[in-house]
Amino acid sequence: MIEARTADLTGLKDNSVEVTNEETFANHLDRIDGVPAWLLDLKRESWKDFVTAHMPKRTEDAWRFSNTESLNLDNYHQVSDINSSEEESLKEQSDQLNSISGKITFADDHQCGGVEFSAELKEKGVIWTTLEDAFFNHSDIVKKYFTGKLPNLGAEKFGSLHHALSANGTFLYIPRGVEIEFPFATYNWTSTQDMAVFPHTIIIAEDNAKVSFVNFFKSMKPDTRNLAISCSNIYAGNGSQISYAAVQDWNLKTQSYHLNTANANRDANIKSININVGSAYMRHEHHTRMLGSGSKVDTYSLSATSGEQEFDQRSLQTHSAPHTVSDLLFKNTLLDHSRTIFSGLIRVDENAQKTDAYQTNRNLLLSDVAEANSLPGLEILADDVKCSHGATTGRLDQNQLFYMLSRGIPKRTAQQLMVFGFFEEIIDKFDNQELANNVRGIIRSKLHK
Amino acid sequence: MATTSTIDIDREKGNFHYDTQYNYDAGTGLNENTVRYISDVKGEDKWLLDFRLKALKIFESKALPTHWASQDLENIDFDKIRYYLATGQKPSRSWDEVPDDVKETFERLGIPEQERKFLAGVEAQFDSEAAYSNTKEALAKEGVIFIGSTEGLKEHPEIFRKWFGKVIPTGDNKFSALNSAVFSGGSFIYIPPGVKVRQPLQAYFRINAENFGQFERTLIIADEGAEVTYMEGCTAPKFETTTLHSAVVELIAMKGAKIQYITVQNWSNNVFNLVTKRGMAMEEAEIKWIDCNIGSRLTMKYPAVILKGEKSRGEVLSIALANDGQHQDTGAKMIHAADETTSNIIAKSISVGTGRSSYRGFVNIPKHLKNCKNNTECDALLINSNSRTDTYPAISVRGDGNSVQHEASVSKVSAEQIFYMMQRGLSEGEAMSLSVNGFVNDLISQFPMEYSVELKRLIDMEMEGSVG
Repeated sequence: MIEARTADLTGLKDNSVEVTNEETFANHLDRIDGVPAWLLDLKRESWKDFVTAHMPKRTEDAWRFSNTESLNLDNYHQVSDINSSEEESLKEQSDQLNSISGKITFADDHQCGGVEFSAELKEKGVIWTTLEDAFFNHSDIVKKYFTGKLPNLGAEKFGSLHHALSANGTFLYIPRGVEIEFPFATYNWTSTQDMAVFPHTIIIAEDNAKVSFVNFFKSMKPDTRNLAISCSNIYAGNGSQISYAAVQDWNLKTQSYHLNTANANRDANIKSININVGSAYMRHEHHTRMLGSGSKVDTYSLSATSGEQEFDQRSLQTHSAPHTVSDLLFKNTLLDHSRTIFSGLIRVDENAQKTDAYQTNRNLLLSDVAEANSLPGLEILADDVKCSHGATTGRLDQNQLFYMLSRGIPKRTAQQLMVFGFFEEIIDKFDNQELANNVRGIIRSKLHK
Repeated sequence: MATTSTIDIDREKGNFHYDTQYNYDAGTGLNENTVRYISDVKGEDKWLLDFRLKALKIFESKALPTHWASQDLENIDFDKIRYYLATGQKPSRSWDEVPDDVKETFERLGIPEQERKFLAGVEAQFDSEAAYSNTKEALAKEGVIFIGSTEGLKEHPEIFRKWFGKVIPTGDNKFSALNSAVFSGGSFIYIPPGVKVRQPLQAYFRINAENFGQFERTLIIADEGAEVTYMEGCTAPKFETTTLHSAVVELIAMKGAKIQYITVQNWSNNVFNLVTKRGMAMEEAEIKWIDCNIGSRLTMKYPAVILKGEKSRGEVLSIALANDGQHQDTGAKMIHAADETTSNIIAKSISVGTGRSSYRGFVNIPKHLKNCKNNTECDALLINSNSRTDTYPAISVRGDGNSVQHEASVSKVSAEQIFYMMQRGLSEGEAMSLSVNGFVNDLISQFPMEYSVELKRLIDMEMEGSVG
């Protein structure tokens, strides 16, 4: 156990000020007094970018099909403090995984309790701490990786606001050659009405290191209106392996933005699995960069939408080096009036010969008013490549259903089996069985609602 | 595989032009007077002049779509373009009445022989006005109308005015507005109920003058149960400066009708080819676009079908070949607007040298429709290491009664295949040509015979010197 530094960077003196107000930013700078100068510069730059950028319009290509009118940043605040009774209860509820290497819990961006971490790993040079602590105690490393980098797929205004106001999150650093069996876990909770949270995650695996990480995004109450803008950046050194999973289970009144990048150097391997069930509106941007030859990045996503939910997913796979492989599979199940948008692009640079890149989007419509939009794209500038993409939208296979009915399986059971089968292709990708079972539970309870 | 720069393409067949004295010339640049001049020369009714003037305003108010399309569009200088040129002759009915120099042009393009052989009717457009048109007597007896756009609106307003500008509204995009303001020439075709035109109707379009913009307008109406195939070919000589071709083509297939529209576009590579093509299919009707783009500097063309009637069917078969300096930005749109409608898109593109081919598609199945289906396949072949290909489809589906599938792949010619053929004594170029022809063969085999032969020859020509 290491204790977090006492300074609380997130809180505000006055939480009646909106996050879009200049005063909020001034208060934030006051509050984080003492952080390194490079961070202040980055924050001022980000605030300027936030102010000058306009809100997205539907006519912009990066927001095609999005219901941009529902996006707004009004009447959200940063919280000054959380009450300790809630803190205890949240810590107890942050129990999705038993076998872990470390755990950090946040409520409205405030750390709940200490950082759980094994002393053995600390001795090996592994750093597992809050970003707030890392700003002070590991500034040299953080400076290299907290750079304001965004996926740049359209939500830059929200990303800039994140970098201007974010002061906490997860920092995980694995030194060269260290392999870690059990996952690290971070729980990000929202608990207060009208609060905005800005969780930031940095994962660095040095050469030949191996690590896995799981991020849970949850709301304590079902009816608090919240804004969540999270950024996560993964850096995989030569020959390293990183497994990343995110379970987005915010309440149905949350507007969320998850802006992620995954960067793979030579022979590195990154696997990223995103499970999405919560939020009224979710924008998920994911940019994977194959920077070194021999690198391989797999990106998977499983979403279940219901009611009036809208999930807006944009991905970009950039192949900048030869002999690289990327695979992407996004599966959506849509109920009721919900909508999904998948926009993906594979970009193969001129020198990235011998690239294998795949991109697949499968949408399962389970209601006659649900709407799935798909924009699978390719931009290929090299010639010696294997690239393909596929997109399908449809209902359950009627022949399969008929077969099961003819074997005496009741219709409802048969339909359920088929929907679970549809999910299983993604859930199968988890190496961690505890997590896989957990996710099965989350998805099933979502569908039974 | 060796990668070398491609040689200059042989476009001998179309690369010639004649000095022609034009009796009517609207001058360069575009303003209200240009539009009034064109309308006046054609002796048009007031409603048509008003239509043109309104379109001009829309054209001026719309920005270039460069937020998604190629920045190359900014290189079109609308003030330097000549919008109307004509020698003043009425479309002639017999080949002998056509002026000698115009005739010579078309003879080089091989129209009369082809007509004698198999064509039912020919419309040949030389710059702005149709030079020669003829519908085989038998067809005229059955009531088939095949005339130019000006004549169509003047002589048969009861048939054509009803649908004119209805499938593609003036304000659809900047270039459809431009066409609506200055259109001239093109074919207006009406096939009466139940008439099945066995032989294809054919049109040739040719740009002869430098800095000229060609803006033909085509409207084809197939009445209930009628069937027709229409083919168009396009050529232009090479000039120093860029030339603009911006057509609007509207098809209407009434209940149970079938229209097949075939284009072989081989403009020289200084032509901006910005064309809006759309068909509307009523109940159980079928519209099929076969679209081959080989020439031009930049082509932007996405043939569309609005599936308005139940059980109607739309299809687009597209082949694009982008050579050095060319950008083929082509694709298809399928707008489902009734139950049990089906659509199919198959697009194949080949990028050679620095050529870039893009597929852009849109499939829309809105709410409350049942049993609609779309299938889309896009395959791209890259020949050289500096070739480029893009795929930008958009698919929007609502409701669990519909299904859509889209697949795309990008590949290069297999080195093993080339090695095998060379080992059997073929040159690398020949082997490459065979390979590319094999890539498009399943599409080409669906084309009418004479077109598949012509296309294969064109592809062979384009592939010459791309390797080795």
